Amino acid sequence: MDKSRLALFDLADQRLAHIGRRQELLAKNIANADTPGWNARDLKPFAELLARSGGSIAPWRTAPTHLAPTHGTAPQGHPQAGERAPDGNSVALDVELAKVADTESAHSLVTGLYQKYLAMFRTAAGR
Amino acid sequence: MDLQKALTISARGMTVQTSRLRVIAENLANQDTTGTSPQTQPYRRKTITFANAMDRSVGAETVRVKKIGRDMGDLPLRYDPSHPAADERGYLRVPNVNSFVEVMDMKEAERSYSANLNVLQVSRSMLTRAIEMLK
Amino acid sequence: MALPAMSALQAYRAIDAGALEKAPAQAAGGGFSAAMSRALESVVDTARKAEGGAMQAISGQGDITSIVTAVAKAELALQTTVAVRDRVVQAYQDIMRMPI
Repeated sequence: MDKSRLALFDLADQRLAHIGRRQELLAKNIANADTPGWNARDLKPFAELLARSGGSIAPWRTAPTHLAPTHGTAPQGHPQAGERAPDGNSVALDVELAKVADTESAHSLVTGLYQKYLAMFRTAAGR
Repeated sequence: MDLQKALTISARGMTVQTSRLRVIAENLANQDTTGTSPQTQPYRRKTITFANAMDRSVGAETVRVKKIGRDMGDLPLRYDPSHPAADERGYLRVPNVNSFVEVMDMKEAERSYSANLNVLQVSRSMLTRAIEMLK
Repeated sequence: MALPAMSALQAYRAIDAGALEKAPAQAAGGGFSAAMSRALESVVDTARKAEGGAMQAISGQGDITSIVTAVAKAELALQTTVAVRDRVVQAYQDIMRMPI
């Protein structure tokens, strides 16, 4: 088994997890577009998280005794700078929807690459 | 898992916007509901506020209707001596519903509803695409 | 007896003409195996470039169009190599089946 190819699949898994967390956070922002005091939040970009942690984002817990991820299970994200409405809400629907579109295309790209590399493995193995 | 939570979050968002639309519809329907006599009160505009709270059954923070209250501002006066609810000077109190404000609010509610629906559809298509990788 | 080896060589030349210098039509020997190893190197190089691009794309960087075309080229190169491998194996089996 080619070790470098496994790295690609691991990276794709991590990116997909990041995309899922971001989608949940964006859905929360949009659902709270009229909640007083709600501050729009977003996750740090994946490339930045990668660079910081030097190759792996969060350990995957396959057993309860494993180390818990340090960033917590719910995506808290970071407050975004932006205008606040009189009631304290800072969600701009168009900005959030653009981020949702961006997340969707990233998800499409990563799953496409995943499928392509799986198919290439199958070709090489002769199936 | 996160994508499924996103589905629920967006669905709750749509629900609260629907409640908001219902409140707006009530206000508009009752914008001329005055009292029947000088002692009875006319319709008072309803207000709705949202809050974000953790829902344990879902495992995520979702938005919900916090309170449906009344706009306790001053009720406007209208001069109409022939009206049964007019007082001795000929004035009666009318509902504090401004139809222009309500219609603008309705447009906002619709926009928020569409945004939540959009996110719901995107989350669902992402889940579908992930499942299709099995093929 | 040179026939199966010749057909394998022809199949390989026909598919991968772009990446390879035109090797003379030798039946067997250094020419063919050198040509094969050159072609394999270029396939591996294509695959490595594509994988680097794919890792970049997954991390959210890089130009999507060029990365996707690189991956498509790598897939084509891989399928070519597999086709050649299958042909060579088939030719070998044909030869081995011949009565002495």
